[in-house]
Amino acid sequence: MRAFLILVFLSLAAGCTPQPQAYHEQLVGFGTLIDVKIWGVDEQTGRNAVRAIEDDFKYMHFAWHAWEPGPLSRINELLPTGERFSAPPSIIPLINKAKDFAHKSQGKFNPAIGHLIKLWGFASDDPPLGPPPSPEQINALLEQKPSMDDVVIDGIEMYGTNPAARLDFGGFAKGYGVDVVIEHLREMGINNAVVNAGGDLRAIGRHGKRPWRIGIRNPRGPGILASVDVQEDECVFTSGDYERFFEYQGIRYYHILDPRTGYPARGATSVTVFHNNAAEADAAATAIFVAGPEEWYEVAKSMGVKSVMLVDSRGTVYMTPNLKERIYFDVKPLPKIVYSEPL
Amino acid sequence: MLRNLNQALLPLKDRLIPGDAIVIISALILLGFLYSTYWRQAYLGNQAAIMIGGKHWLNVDLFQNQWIDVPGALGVSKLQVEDGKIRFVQSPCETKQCIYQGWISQGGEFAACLPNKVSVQVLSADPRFDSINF
Amino acid sequence: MQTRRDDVIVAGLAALAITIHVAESALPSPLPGVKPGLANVVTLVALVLFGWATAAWVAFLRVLVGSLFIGTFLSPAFMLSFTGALCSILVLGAVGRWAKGSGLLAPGPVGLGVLASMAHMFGQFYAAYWLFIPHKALFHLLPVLMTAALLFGIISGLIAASMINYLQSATNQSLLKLSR
Repeated sequence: MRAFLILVFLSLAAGCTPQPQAYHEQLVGFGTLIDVKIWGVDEQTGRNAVRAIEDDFKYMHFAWHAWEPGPLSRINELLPTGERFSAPPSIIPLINKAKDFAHKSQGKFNPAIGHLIKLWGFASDDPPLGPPPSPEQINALLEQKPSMDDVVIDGIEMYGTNPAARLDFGGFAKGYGVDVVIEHLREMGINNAVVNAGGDLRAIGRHGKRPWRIGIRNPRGPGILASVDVQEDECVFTSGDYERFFEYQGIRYYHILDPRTGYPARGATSVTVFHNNAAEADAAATAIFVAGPEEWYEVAKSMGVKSVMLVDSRGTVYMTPNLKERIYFDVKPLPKIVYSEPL
Repeated sequence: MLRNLNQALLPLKDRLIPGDAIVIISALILLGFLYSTYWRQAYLGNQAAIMIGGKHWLNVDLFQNQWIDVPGALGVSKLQVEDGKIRFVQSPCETKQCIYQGWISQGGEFAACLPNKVSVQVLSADPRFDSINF
Repeated sequence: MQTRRDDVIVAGLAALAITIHVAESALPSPLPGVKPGLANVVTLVALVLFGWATAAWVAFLRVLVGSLFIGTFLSPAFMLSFTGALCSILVLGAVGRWAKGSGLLAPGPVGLGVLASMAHMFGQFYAAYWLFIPHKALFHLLPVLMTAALLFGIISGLIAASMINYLQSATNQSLLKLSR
């Protein structure tokens, strides 16, 4: 009997050979949980690195918060006045990139709809609650057509041309932040790490001898939809409607709004973009989500991303053919897959 | 007695008949099934780590069925452990996304109640995923 | 009505089985519950030559008396042996019934040895799981144990075939006559 127990322990041990582990920490930042894994460093180095990027995230969250006092909020207060003011250096690159993305996505990515987002209750840290805003309220905001063109940067100064424009970078701040943090890690000499800010992930290097393995959550249902081995410097950004929503009288209202209609984008339940730049990937994932299963291809093309996977409300998967070999679907039965032309 | 022993040791082929082949082949098929089913165990996690606000709070044995109350930012999230799996059962958040996620059991799998800042990750020596796009 | 000679042989078989069982328990085994299973040989011989009922007797006598001799009667080890023997005998009985009508497809001593051995291991495993270690991780062992059971089943079947042949030539009966 005792021998049986010893045997059990032995076999459990055999099944669980201790392997060198990655340094792992979870941070609270950008309103979500940020998962950081670093390979090939001792614990002290890992800890120091994570503390450093924790500070980075804290700062960025403060600087880019659309509503709480900080640099972006200040800009948001000053834009409606139409007067010139000095442009804070921490925000200018964000604004310029956002303008670029807004054009490339033909308005599907539009961070100037801050008021609309607040109206729905999805602004930054607000817990989303019902009821949904009335069509009148939504139209009132839409009519004024806030867009990134309403923000003009002139040298070191800037001004606004539309009082309805309010900047909310929720759609790509995390991506931008992840890029910043990865660069910081590189500066610290770390070349193998994964930073995952609530579904916005960038990986560099490898997990020792093998690539980093990522799981993509099933948008409808428990568990994992698919897993991928990422390349040595790759971003995997997933926008899902399940992240933030509220339910009112049986209908779910999701946090990704279509700037053209003022209502939550329907059609897609999850969009995953693979790319080499996190800010672009984040914006692209948002824009493609808004575009939905009908128009995703054109938007992906114009935003310059080449590997996309979209899941629609029926569970059908649309993807670019270059992902065929890379993505391993974990669900049974396998979903219906529709391949597009290569991008 | 020993004379007969020589005679008794039949050549190998005389000791096997067709019916034996059927049995042995079936047995091999069964073995194949058993290996493929129970030797995936390297991926199954035995323990899960519960974190509050990203900070480690408690490790639980997934094979000891139990209920756990986790004090989060908004209130108490109730987790259930059963037969190697864990899930959120109750949580003070609005959307109950955490509960909707259901059971997790594979190494690396992850469930969280973001509003309550409670998260659970299944630990395993060979995690299937290093990170999950939530 | 069995002849006196058959009685002697059956008694001898039972004694042999018990002796092997006791002797095997002294062997150090890397995996408890995985004995070379030589006592199984005797059960097989009894099955082929004297029928299922006799084989059942021999099997249970072996487990019971064997455990009394070793001192493990009603111990956990006994529970495992008992359950194993039970499963083994039931499977052999079922196969025997089926074999009556299927001529060529019926297994010989080797096939029966495999069936008996794997059923025995199966019974032991589940007894261990339900009664003593209800831990899912135990299943990690199952494929290995069953592999060993297959191997030892083949070996014991081969040995049994030789024994049967020897005994039959000594008593002038045909080799492939299964349970009456």
